[in-house]
Amino acid sequence: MMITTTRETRKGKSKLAISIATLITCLLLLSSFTQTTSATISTEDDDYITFTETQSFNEEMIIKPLPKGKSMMHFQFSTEWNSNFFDQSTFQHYDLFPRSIGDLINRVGIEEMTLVFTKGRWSYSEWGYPIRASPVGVELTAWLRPLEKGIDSQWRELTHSLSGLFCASMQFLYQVPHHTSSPSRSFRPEGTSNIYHTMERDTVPAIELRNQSSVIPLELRYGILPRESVCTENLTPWVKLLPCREQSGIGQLLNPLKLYDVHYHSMSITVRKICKSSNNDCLIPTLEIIQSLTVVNDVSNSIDNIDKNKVKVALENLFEKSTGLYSCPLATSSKIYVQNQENLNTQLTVTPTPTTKNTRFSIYDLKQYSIQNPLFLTLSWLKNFARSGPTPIVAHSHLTGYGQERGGIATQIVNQDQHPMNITYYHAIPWYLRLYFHTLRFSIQDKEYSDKDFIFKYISPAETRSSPSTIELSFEIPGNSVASISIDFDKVFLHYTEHPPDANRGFDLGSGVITAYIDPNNIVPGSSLSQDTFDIEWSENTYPHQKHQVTPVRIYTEGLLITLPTPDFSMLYNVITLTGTVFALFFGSMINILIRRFKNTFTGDDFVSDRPIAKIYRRIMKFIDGK
Amino acid sequence: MAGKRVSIVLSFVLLFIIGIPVWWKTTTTYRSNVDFTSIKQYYGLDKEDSTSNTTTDTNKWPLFKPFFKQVGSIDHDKEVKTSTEYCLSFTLLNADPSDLIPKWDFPYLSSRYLSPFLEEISDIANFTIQSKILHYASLMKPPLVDSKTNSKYIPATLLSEYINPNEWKLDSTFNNQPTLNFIIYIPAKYQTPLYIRSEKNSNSFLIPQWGGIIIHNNNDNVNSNKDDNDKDNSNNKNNNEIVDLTSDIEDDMITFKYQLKELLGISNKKQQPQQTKKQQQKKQQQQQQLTLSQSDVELSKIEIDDAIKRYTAENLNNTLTTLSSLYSLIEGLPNMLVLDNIRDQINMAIESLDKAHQCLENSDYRCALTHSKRGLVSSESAFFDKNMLSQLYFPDEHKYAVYTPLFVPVCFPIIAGIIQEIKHYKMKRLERLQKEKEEKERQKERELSSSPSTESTKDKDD
Repeated sequence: MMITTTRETRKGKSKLAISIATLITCLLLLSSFTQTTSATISTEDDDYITFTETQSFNEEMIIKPLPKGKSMMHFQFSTEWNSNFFDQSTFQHYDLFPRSIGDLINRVGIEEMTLVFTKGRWSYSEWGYPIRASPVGVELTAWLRPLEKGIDSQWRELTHSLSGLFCASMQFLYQVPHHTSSPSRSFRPEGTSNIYHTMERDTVPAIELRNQSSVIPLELRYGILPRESVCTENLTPWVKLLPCREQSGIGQLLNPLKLYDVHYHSMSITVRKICKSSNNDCLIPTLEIIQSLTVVNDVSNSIDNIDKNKVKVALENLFEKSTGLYSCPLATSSKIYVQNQENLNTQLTVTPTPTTKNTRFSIYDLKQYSIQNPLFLTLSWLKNFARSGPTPIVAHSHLTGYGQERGGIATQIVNQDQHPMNITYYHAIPWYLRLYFHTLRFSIQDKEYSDKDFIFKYISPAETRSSPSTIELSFEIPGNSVASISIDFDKVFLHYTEHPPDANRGFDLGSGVITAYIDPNNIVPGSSLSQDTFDIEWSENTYPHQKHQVTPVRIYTEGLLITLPTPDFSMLYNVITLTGTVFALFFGSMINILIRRFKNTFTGDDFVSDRPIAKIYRRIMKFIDGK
Repeated sequence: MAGKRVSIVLSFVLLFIIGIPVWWKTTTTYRSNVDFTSIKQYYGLDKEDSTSNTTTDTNKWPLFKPFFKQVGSIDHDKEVKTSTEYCLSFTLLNADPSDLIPKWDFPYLSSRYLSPFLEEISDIANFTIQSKILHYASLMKPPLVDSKTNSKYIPATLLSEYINPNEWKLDSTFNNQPTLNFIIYIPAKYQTPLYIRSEKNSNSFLIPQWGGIIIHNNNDNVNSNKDDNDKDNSNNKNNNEIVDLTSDIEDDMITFKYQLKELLGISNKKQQPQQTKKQQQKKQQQQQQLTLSQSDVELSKIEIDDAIKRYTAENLNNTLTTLSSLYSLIEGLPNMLVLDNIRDQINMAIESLDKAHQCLENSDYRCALTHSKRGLVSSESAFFDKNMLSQLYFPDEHKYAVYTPLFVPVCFPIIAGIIQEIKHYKMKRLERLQKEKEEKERQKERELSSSPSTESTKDKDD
């Protein structure tokens, strides 16, 4: 059920006649609003706009057994808000939508934003594709609408505000922009309220301002912090943004001690705008926040008592939540999906019986359960089951070379499927590795590619001590083949102050992004692209897309660690004292030669110096000998 | 050769004499000149003797002190510190959404009840209003039960043990404005109705310098509580009722206006009962639910004028205090950076103090208020400028540690050379005097006898 309140915004002084007339028109308009939830503008009076405000909150969870005794759990919380966003005062009153994010959207001019915190590595070849892929560390992608203060200032405000909100160090994305860049083709806004605008080289997403009938292209800023470690300090403010927090609903399972003791942990918040009406023309899009959290647990220790080959997982034991699950009262829908994977032989059994069951999922509707009658979910499946086929596209990268002077990066993209696919590869390499672009080699199955074979190729060199060098390539990879990319670099000897603490650990390079466009026509049930590897659209609420539309799958390569030549940090003091000593000796000798007076001391006897040091020495010797 | 030695040693000495001031100048922190004379005169700090604190001959602003005395002291236990901007944050706190999901149309409530009030005091400060609905806010301890009336109560003296607003995780704002929080708390169904008990039951209280809280006992909850005592747990489902509480909350808005007046210190001083000054004492509003009506919180002209005078006095006082602290800070830390923009801000603050003084001479209080606000903003931005907080980046110990190994060994030969030269010069002078004496004696001898003179001894050294 939808939560509606009616708002009227009125400008100017109101006289009685006008007030009655507008009241009547308001009632007439309201009656037409009960069918649709979109907003209209009345043409009678320029200052009179009526909107219905709607807010809703949905929570979902998906559980998927993985081979070798692991399980994937994905929590997803989405809050939607539709109101009169033309009016600035809308951003002062909040209900389900969190105020900190709404404030941020208003001040910084965010069209779409994704922030992901990841710990651990997702194994694409073993587990297929995650619902939301992410590189290790922190990743921030933002589509910004240009405001008067300038994109730079907006990016600065965004990174600083987010770092304060989530207790992370995102401000370094602005202050030390070694990993901040703007890829042109690898990312597209997920929301559906944008249009595309053709510019000189490229088609970029843009938004259209109807009242001025102008098109403003959006700017993308993409930054990563590979060195950032993720901990419960980042989880706490994230949970605070949920309407029910951890008190009820699926949020009860968010136990910080259990969430970080896992193989893979990824926590993300996405802000985007979607159109809720069936036709594509929505005057004001709905603001949506999607908060999702993915964990991969190792459950091979909890063996089923009955069948030793199976693992048995009880949710309340896994997350140490002794009371059962029930829905959040503020949620419109609250569901748990367990993926059946029927084409594989997983022998999955779930207790109690699910509310509904279809070919893909067994669904539990938490609205049927209450605090007096909660849900205690137990699953059990075969510990070692085989997947139906290899993951279609996997990618790996590694460092080549040796020594402290030079090296290289090599990436392999493997297409294990028989269909050809369009691939875009993007990598931002920090400035302290000086790439030699003439050594960029690209080959597919050992056949070298030249520039004309690429669909798109864009290389930009680094700016010293600021932006990284970027490589972006688009090509088509044929079935069952390997694409190899390699490039050489020289390592830069950094300034003494530019080394991080614990400099001998090295520097983290960011992951490369591979975006693959998989044609849904190629997905044949039973083939390697069937549901066990490719399950992005499991929730119709979240990703309502038209069928037969090519969906992008994103793969991130490993984060690499490289050691740059490290100076000896104690040399600073050594240099000062050594220079001081050498110079003092030199100077002393020189000045002695210049101003020394030579005295004729030839008296026939032994020379007796009358320097004070000599006198003291004689006195000491007399003292010693005299005894 | 003697001349060359002297010139060599002298050249090194000259190098030091020229070099040290150049080095000193290039390693000092940048400090721009700030003119603090008027502040010093006001506080009498430029006079060496502290006994003369009532002299007004050199004081530039004689009217300030009597004006401050006229306005009187300000009760800072309750009233919030003056500022040019305030953020009023209204929160609807619900203890348990499974009982009840409240909604409100806050823009309507604020435009009907708050906007006219804030319009009238808009000269004093800018007010931003924001609202939020939060859930799962609980009391720290369960309240006590009054079995006669089947209600729960909290004793007024122990309010801080039951209610801790810091636990309620209210959203923080991105700006630096002082925030006044006004909360409507809807207790859970099993804790309804909830009152605060001193002599009578009341529903609301004020937290000094923070805001106010009103406990709103929803009538549906009260009624259903009475009925439900028999049939417990009969239904499995949670009844998630969505209730629009706008009309019920209209009375509470009047209470909020009263609390806001108290917090800003606008209420009529004659009506104030004397309050004991205890820390964190929660004051009850005894007459809330029953007799408070719209007219009780209308602002009279006297109140507005009093408020303007009070704010002007407080702003001017704060400006002066900030500027004098700034003065002692700058004087006390000779290594601290003082940039040009800080000097400009301080000059602007002093200028607005001058203008405010002129307005006071003309008894134009609104004009004085405007200038006092400007002065407050400038002085605070100068004081809290982020460059002012920079650490001493060039402490003296570092300087000594870096330069000592280089210069001290170099100095030794030079000083030894100087000493040698001086000794040599003295020796030579002594010899010259002796020579002259001998010359004179010889001349005398020559005059006495006419024998040829013996040769004079030559100097062996040059």
